[in-house]
Amino acid sequence: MIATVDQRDSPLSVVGKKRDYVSHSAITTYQQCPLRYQFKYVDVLPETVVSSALIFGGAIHSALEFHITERLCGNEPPSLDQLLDAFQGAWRGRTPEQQDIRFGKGEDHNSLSALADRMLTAFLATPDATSDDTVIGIEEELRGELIPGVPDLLARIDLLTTTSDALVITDFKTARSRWSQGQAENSSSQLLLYSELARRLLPDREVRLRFLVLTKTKTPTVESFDVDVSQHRVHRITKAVEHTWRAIEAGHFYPAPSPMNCPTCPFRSECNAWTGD
Amino acid sequence: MPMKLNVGLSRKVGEPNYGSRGASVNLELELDNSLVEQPERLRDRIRQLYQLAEASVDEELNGTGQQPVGNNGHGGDHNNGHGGGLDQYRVSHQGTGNGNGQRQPANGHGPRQATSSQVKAIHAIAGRNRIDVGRLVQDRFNVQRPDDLSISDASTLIDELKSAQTGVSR
Repeated sequence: MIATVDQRDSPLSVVGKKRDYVSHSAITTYQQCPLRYQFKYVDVLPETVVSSALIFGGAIHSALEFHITERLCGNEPPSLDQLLDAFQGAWRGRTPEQQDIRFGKGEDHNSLSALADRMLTAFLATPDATSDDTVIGIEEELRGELIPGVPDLLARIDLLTTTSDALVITDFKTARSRWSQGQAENSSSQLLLYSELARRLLPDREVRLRFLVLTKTKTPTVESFDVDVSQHRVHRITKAVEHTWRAIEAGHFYPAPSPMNCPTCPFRSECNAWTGD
Repeated sequence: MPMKLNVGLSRKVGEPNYGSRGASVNLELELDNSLVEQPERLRDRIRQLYQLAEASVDEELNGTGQQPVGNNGHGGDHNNGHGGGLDQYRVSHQGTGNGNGQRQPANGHGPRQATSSQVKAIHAIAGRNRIDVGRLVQDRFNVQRPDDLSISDASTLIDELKSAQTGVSR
């Protein structure tokens, strides 16, 4: 069931003022820190600081998207310079004037541009850059009900391709270091959820999930990881989303301090001011 | 041999989130040849047929009509005997629905419609080669616009357009 206007206007307006859907990102935000969820999705507080990693990852995604779109449209594969133009255009588009970028140690725009150059060069040398798989979706938005009583799930899928017998969902990741297969499996909750929406596109095909991981290293690597799509895993993540949603719906918002998440949180001052009353 | 009268009507309505729904109906009526000699009566029959088509399309768009059974679970052909002023006629009608990111038949069954990436690609390739995409999909797949193609048909069309483009550029 989709949230009605009345539900959105209620004191437990937990999806946010303008949303009648829930995203995997929102669910994981709550799981990491319920108070951050409240600030971002319920109170819709402005984010005055954005991490460079977020902008960088988004801009790399945009360059990859440009490459695949050009191929889908029957154009010549873009050159590295064209991909870098797409990267820079996306970087500019993702840094609104009212937001400060929080760079990591020793990072600035120039060093990240050089890193993008190396990463996109590495990508162009992979089979993925010249794949003949049939592309059916790039940054494709899917939306639908997965769990009765929980708002629609909104999924934005990086790449949807088909083979003769499968529908393949690919998620692009930029990572500090190379992934292991175990890391891919542990990071697959988003893909598993998305698989439930995507399988409705072509019900007669098996669904395959994969990550394409580009490392942000001196010598970047590009590696593909297939992940297991068992019904057990899909059921488990679906139930986890359902329980998370019930907690959100009940208005359980509290801080969950973490040395991993707090340093990059844009709501640190609001969090410090929070009294819980 | 009886005279045949064909009437077709289609209409689309906007939906939230940049989506749209469309319905079309085609009626075929067999008439007595003698009506050719009676233009007033013939026009009456045509008007009658159009009114029926309009009502059918409105029903489909408003969701007040009965679900037809046929291809994709949302379109199909069925014969209706309709007494009164109309002779035997054949009706085929189809309703389609799509919305941004949620392109699917309105009733949720059958093959999903082309993705937005596919639709953009079809327009881009066709535009570059000055191909009338509306006519192309009508002639080739009997749909009104690329949005109404199935995912598989959209892939086929993209491959064909790209092949034709490659052939031309050689």
